[in-house]
Amino acid sequence: MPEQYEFADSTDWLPTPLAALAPLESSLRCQVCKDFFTTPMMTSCSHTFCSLCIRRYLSQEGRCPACREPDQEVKLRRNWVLEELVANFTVSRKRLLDFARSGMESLEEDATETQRPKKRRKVEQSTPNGTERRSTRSQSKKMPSSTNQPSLPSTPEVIEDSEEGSVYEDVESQSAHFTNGTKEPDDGLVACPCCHRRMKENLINSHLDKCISGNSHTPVDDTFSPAPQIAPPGTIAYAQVKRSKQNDRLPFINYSLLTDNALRKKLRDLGIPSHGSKDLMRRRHTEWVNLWNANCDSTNPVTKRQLLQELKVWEDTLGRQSEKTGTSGFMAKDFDSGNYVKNQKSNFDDLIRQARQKRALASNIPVQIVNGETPEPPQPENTISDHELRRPDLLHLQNEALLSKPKSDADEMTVLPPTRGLLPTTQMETNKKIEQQTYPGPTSSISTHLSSKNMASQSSAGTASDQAPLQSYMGDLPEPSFSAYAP
Amino acid sequence: MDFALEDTQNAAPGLPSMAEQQKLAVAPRKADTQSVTKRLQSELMTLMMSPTPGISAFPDADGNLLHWTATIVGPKDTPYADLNLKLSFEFPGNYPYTAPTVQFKTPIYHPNIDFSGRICLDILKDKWSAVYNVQTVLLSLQSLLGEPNNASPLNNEAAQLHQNDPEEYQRKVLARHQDIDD
Repeated sequence: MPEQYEFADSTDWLPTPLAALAPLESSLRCQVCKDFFTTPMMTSCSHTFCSLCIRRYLSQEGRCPACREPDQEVKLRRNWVLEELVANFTVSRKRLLDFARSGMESLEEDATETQRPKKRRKVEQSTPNGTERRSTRSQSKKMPSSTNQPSLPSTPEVIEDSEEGSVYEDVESQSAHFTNGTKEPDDGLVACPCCHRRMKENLINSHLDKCISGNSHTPVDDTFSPAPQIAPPGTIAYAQVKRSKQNDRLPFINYSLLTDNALRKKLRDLGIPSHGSKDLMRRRHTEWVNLWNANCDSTNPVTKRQLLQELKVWEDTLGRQSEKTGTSGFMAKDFDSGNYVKNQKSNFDDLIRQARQKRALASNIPVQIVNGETPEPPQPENTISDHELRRPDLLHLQNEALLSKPKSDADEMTVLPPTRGLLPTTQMETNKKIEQQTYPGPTSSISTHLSSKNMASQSSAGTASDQAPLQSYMGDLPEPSFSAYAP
Repeated sequence: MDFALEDTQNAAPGLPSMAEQQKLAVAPRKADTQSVTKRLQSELMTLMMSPTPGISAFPDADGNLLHWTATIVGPKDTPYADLNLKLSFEFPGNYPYTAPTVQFKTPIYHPNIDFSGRICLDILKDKWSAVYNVQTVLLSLQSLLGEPNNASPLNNEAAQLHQNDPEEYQRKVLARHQDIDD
């Protein structure tokens, strides 16, 4: 399964004897991005997400994604324990996985072979699952071992560790004391909190990044990190102490109070692009504040240049995308049906012409009205298939065609189809009555097609009842606009 | 515009043509290397490695990870029992912060689903949350089949029949159903 090395996921554990680790790993992953927690932050309702994930969501929705409790960015708190759990787990993940997979192979080769005691115990525990899975390869066999173990078992582990977390924080404050004590007197050199080497202050951050890269969140990175690099407990919180002074979090601003130019100036002051509409500037500012503040939270903050790079990626993908979408399509609220009809007139006309041609062909076979049975105009079967009828983008075109078709053949028909706009009221009423009795009319014939295509032998009573859903459905569509095509 | 020539059977409504789609498919794959693709990959992996019975989903063959086709098997003890229902998923660029667009491709008779397959379900609209995923949406839809919300119907007739005349309702469900090919 080489592709799984490229894309790490909690399901990697499922085919191994350590399938029980899958729920543990998925509880170390953010529910929004499905990746390992990056700078986990806790909401005031005690749910945890990546800093950037929750900031983006809160700036959009203003509530917790998990429980919908209203919340604010300023109430977010760091979750140190979880960050350390993730860091330590990702360091050993790759090896653990290799170990589990090799365990599976050796299990296949020789089940009785004695190996390192820890592994043997694990293998024995899950032997039935492991062997069955190999032989059948049916996915459903995996089910019981994976999904029937809810994430509950792993939750207590997190809680257990949180007790240790308080210990870590003590370590952190002690060591903060320690650095302050040694750093102050000398020649402006600073000690790295990890390796205690001394260097200039402007180098410390880049050094620190490398020094604690053992805590990197990307599981791919840990492949080559040797075991001794695993950071001692408390390192993350420890490193954080030095940093918090240099970055101030940005506040959100009330965009509606600002004019375009004031907002533009604000963006310029922040050093981010200031072009575009006010809406684009607003979204860009929101994204920037989210990126910036999440970076402030981070243990390994990146430079402003890198943040600008991320903002550019956002700009290239989402920033422009969402400007385009939203107002397009006839489903949009502000859909300009008049303009659409005008632009599509040639298509409509073409469609009507086609329909009339088919009609002319079909009218060679005389339409018979027998004993009040409801014959349907032959066009729909001939020209428009049932599937096409369901395409919402075509449907109103077809309505158009169906509604306007009978006009040309009005004289041939026993009953006048509705040319409603032009008829005097009394005539219209009688027309409607006859329509109901003998000929279902174009409207109900559409509904017959839509709702009960397979009920060919449906009576006229049936078609009448089918009109209700059609009307509600037609409500969604732009007006077929009789006026545009009334003669 | 010749409707007879156009193969609309497999085309999702409102989607661009093949040529347009190929163009569109390049752009997102090049640009948003990060969150959306990653998240969808993860969801796909979970769906494949630990499948839930009666539910499946997979990206469309056009190579664009933002369009998926899903299948629900109608739950037992409902009029939809053992029917295969196909759906299309369309993920926005800022998924999961915005809900995917989900539509039934299989013709279905249901109080909360209209005749072109559009679905009236709160978690796909205002109640969407970033912690939902394809699997939870499909499970919700599966349970919606058994327990329609007759209070806000898209299909009035279906809502009334569901309440008053279960037999006729069942008949209409089966009459409307039609297996569609891939």
